[in-house]
Amino acid sequence: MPGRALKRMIHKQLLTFIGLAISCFKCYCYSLDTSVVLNSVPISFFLFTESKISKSLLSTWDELPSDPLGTWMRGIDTRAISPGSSITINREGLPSNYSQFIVNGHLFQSPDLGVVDVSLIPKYGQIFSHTAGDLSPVIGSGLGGSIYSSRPSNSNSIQLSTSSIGSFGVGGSWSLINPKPNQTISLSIGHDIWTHDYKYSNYLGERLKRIGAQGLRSEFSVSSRSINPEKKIWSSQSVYGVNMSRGLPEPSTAAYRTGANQTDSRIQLNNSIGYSKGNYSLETRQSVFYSNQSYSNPIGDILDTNVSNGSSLEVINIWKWGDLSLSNQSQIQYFGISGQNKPDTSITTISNLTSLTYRMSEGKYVSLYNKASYQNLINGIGGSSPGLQVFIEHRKRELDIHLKRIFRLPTMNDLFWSPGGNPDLIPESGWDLKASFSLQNKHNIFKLEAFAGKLNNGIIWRPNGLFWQPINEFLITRYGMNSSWQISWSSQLVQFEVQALQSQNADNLPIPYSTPFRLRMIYSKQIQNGKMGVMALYQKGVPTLWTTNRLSDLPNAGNLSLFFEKKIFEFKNKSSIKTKFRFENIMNQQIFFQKNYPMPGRHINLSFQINF
Amino acid sequence: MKQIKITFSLLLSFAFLISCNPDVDPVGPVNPYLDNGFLVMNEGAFQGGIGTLSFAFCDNSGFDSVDNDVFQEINGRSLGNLANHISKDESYIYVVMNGAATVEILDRNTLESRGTITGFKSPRQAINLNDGYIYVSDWGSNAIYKVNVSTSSIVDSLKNCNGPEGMFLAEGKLFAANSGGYVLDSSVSVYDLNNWTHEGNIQVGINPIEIIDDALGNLWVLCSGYSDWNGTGGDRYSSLISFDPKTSNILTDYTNPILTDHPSKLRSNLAGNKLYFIQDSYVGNVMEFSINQVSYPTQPLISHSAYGLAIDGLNGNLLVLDALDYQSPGKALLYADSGNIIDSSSVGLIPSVAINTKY
Repeated sequence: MPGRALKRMIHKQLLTFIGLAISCFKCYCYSLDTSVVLNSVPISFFLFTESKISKSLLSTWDELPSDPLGTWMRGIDTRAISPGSSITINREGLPSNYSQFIVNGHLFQSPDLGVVDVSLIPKYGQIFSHTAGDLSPVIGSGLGGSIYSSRPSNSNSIQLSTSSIGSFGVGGSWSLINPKPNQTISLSIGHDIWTHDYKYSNYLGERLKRIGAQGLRSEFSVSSRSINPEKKIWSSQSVYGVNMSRGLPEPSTAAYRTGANQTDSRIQLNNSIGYSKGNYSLETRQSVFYSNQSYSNPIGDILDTNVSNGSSLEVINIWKWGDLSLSNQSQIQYFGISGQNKPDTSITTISNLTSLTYRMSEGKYVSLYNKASYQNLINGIGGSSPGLQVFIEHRKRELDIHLKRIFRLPTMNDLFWSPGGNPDLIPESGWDLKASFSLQNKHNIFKLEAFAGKLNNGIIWRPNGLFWQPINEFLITRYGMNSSWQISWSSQLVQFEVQALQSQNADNLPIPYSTPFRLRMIYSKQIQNGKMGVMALYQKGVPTLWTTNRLSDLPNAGNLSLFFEKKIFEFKNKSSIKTKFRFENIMNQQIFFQKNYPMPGRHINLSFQINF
Repeated sequence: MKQIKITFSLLLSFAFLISCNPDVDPVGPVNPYLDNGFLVMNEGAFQGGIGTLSFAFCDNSGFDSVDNDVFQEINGRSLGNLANHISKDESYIYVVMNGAATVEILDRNTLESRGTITGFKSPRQAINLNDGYIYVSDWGSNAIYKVNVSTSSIVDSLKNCNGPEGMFLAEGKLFAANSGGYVLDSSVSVYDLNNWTHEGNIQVGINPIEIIDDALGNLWVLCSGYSDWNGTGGDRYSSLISFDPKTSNILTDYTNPILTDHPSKLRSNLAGNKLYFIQDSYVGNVMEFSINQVSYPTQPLISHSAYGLAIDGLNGNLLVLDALDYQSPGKALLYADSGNIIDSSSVGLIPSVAINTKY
């Protein structure tokens, strides 16, 4: 038996090697006369939204919110214990509270442990995009990090999806163009149900089927956007909600049994109205949210509830004088939380961002800004984060240099979560420098980005033996690079991405859940009425603890998947049916996003989208 | 014939020489785990981590060496999720895996696995009474399980408590501290082992967690108190209480004057006239209590972060286990019973319980 097992293992590794070798050989062959890009490294805001490449990249984000494997394949550090569980994102050596989401133009508000549960963001009829280090007044209480945003797609479609690990989803989106002049109303609803009872091996080497990872999820989203070009008034209103129940399975080292269950109900309402006259514009934004979460663990007879709510009011003024523009964005945010095992708590944050931009010439500008934040803590605390950004574009070459001071106040749960909240936390501060250079020609887009920074008193959640508790980490130092290259020719496209970074504390311990090295590749070929291709990723082991002991790291991981998309039916150039087929994790690798919580091995995702 | 006699004489002489040789090597391998030292149980990381065992070879002068993760090394697999307790009897060592919901039976001499008992929900501690059975407390089912060691199977259970934790045998009865588990309790359950029945409860302090005897044969219960996370003023004081196991009468009741202290890991010295425990699960510090004392101790014997505590059966030294930041390998610190440090060494992740394998 050991001989057979060894033979099987060698056979498996040989197959893995051959698969990777073939995919690498293919990439390098094509790279001689073509190119690549990394969708997770934005070339720039303008390129991302306007270039052909960015449009194709945008389409790769449409499965982001509920698919940790897909999220990971897009080059992001993901944390999740099963495909249907909460997904949180770390990025570029920064903790997850530096990754923020904007939905329908408003911050996805959540006081939940300083992180956003991506699973609670609507996905049907939404288009996702990503900008890194963008200047935004609504990114928590500080600047920097990554911003992921979504907006309604304006298309009419019905989507059916299923997978071999046990899931079924149905949803759709409809847009009404001009029910009133210059108004667009978009509606979307969706429902997913899953078992996710895929096979895995536990610590005893037993081959089991996952239990306790089942769940269901419903969502809706309604948004209305209108503009009056004569009076130069625009407005938008939106509401979205998600209701979810999901099992949190036990790790592969635990007993084979059903674990805990979590339910989430969440709704957010947004409203904004803007007015412009001459060189002046004014916009106000308001949003409120309500969220009800429960966690129950039948093994330990534990029940915990979190009822949170919040509101935000934002006023944006912009003046323009020739090549000079001045903007001022003021925001007041309120968060409140109550529930079992915790006292009622609330917190109010006020922030103001002033930005002065001078446009030197077409494609060249310099921005100077400052954001001041204040929180009504026990004694009240505040601070500021000034920054300078220089952007130069010349003949499809771009240089972007961004230097800023980081200042971030503790979130409400950092301070008052029960148990564990630490009211003694002080704000984190530091500096961050990011510089990038990119160039583009007919077939190639290349970008090299370097970053470095220091974070003093970084707020990090750690277990303290009884529960998780945030502490001020004395110093976090980070530096690294992202490089991307896209080669396109006729009907084919190859993208390469390399990320390498070092992010560590004062004891030289690497920050958890940030991979030090990642190599990613996408090959895509246009076929008649569709496209097909392969995605490959190799990632070095990710630390899960602040420790010198590397045994607790997630293992090095490689993944290979195939995709195939094709329009299979079209009627009068108006309606069509499109199918998407993804063969995930072809080499059947054991993938972990948290230690000892196995993700599915080889599996298939299939979806049909009816456009009308 | 002469040759036969000579040969026989030589064989007889050789046999005689062998039988008289006092330096003949013992048959079988020498087992290092019989040597003096501590077997340290490390809980393992939060959320899916695995428990490990470290063997710390030590004597009165300090640590000689530490072998980490000896279970994996010997048995070629891990123990599973979240180790909670370790105990021993004459033949076996029992490791209670809270997350894996198993009790692992190890050969006391070789640390080889002799069986894995399943069927628990959230086991906490195991005690052996040398009657062929072990008794396992379980928070998940609020039960005491009776387990046949030879067949590694649960044979019976009794449910009459909230969160049974530490257990002790005295006067033919099993006393189990009902720690409350995830709620509140303030009782010690008494079980008749002969009839396997619940005899009754003894009211003690809030959330009793461990029981130990003293030189007089009385039992001491450490009650950890309660932290009210609601912030509604529901915190409760911890206490140290003694009772007579024959009559179940409370003898002494000392309340900790510090509300925020939640003590753990009750141990006694070799003579049984002193008790040791950790002042607070989070802060640490080792407290010393003489059984003749008339109040709760307030001054620590050892002021050091502590998550686990053990007594050296050879010389009465104290082994303090420090989980450090719960992210890095923890430390084992050896102290004389005077409170003076002797030595320290690195062990596994979140060390919390240790036993002598020899004594």
